[in-house]
Amino acid sequence: MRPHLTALLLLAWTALAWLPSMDIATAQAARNPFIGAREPQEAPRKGPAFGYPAFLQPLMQRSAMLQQTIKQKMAGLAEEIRREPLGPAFRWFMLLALLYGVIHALGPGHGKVYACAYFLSRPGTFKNGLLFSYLTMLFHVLSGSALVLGGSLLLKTSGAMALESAGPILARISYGLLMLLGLVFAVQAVARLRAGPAQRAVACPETADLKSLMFTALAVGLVPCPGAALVLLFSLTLGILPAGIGAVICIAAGMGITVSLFALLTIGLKHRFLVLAQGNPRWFEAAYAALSLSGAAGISILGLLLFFSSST
Amino acid sequence: MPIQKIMFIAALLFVCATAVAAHPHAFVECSFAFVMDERGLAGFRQRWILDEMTTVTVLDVVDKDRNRILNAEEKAALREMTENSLREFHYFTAARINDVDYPIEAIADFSAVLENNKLTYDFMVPCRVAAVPGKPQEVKAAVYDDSFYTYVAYGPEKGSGIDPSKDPLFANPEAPARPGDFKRFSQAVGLGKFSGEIKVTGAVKRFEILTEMQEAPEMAYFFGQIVPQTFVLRFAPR
Repeated sequence: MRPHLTALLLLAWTALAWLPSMDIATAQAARNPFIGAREPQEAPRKGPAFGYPAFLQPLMQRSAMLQQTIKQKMAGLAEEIRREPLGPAFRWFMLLALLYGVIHALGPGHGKVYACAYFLSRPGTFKNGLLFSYLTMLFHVLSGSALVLGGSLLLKTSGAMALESAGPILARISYGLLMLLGLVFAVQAVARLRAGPAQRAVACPETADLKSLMFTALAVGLVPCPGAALVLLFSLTLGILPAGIGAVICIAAGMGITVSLFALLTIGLKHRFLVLAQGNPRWFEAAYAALSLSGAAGISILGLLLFFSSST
Repeated sequence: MPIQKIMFIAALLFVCATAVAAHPHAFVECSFAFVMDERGLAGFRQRWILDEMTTVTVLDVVDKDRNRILNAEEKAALREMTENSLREFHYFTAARINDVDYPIEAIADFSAVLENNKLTYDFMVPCRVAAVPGKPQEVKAAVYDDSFYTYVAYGPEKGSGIDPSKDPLFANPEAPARPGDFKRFSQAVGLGKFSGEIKVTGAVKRFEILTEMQEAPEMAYFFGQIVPQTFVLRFAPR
């Protein structure tokens, strides 16, 4: 494949990952008038305030309908699981949770863009891509589950309410951390660029720095996953908590599949592109600098947008 | 709809309350009556029947003992929460007196009951307009949520039987919002214009009273697609 074609593919892939994320950054929050007040300074809407590009909206609505169908099927299995906790209904419940996770992660807010940006900016192998994706999704579901279980079992309050109150705080911490991480990565990228071409050529196919990978996964996954939280709430209410915990793990595994697809393709395309560009030192220099800095900037800018558009 | 399904979806709705998802998220059937006293109009009596999922969401906050029966303390908490949270939304009520806007700031006499898995709110919206001899007063009122988080349908006191869950994207927080949401919802659940009786209660015999329904294009919302109907009352002393 020619370098410019690979570069185009890489660009298109990254853009695809970014599209739904921009939705979060620009979207206006819809407040439930029955249980909470409207934000006092909400700007009047002058046009469609919804960030999904028009061509993606029908697709996302279809995905939502599919998720709805899966959730309804899961809800229908609850009674049977209560009668026979480890029976066939339990296995179906887990399988549906896995499928739900795969589709659920296609929506905005599940770390796809960060997986792309991270591996654009940093070196990484396919194994690192898988590790990053699954760690992120594990933290993502743990965060929501801890709030729901903590709220319900420890604080003896509504699990949903605990998530509603503490979720935005965790999300804001996550966005702040990502904003800073992006800056750190940008500084490190500049340092690598100044270190000389030989070092860069060696650096790109190398294994990721595991500390930075794990910390980024933690920062991204800190935002509680509403899908996993829902399953726990539902399981708590119907007295099938062990099945709920199992389902949450399956959801994380399902979401990991989707996110890792984004991470692996980014790593593969980036690696291929840099290998092809290596034949021309000037091309390689420019490509390496652009990828490293745009990835770091992407993490920082998205963190910044989300930080300032979110409210606690 | 089975209660498990309702709880499942309502919990998701609650969890995703801040996401920008397909509208509407809540459905209210509203019966409306003008209330007259000795001096003229006293206000609007409203009865709202909340859909099952919104009911579960509200109960999740106020029904502390989880028995699906509201005791006195829980009812008081519900009244306080409702009065506070809907204040910013003017209790979904827009009023014009002789073509001048009348902002709705408070409600009175609130009560709530839970019947058939649905909460019903009953309350008065004070709006005092004194009758003037020889000069008919005109009052227009409409009930709607201009954020389209909620769709308010006018209907009889017992509800019109509209089932919002016929729309698979109703209250579905994972479906992205689209400008075509109203058309989709309207077609799926079969919304129509209200053509029932306009109720006027209280000291009606003291006044000459005329009522009619009017469309209010000036109140159009959600990209101008939803034109609310207004209840119009004209009255003068006999």
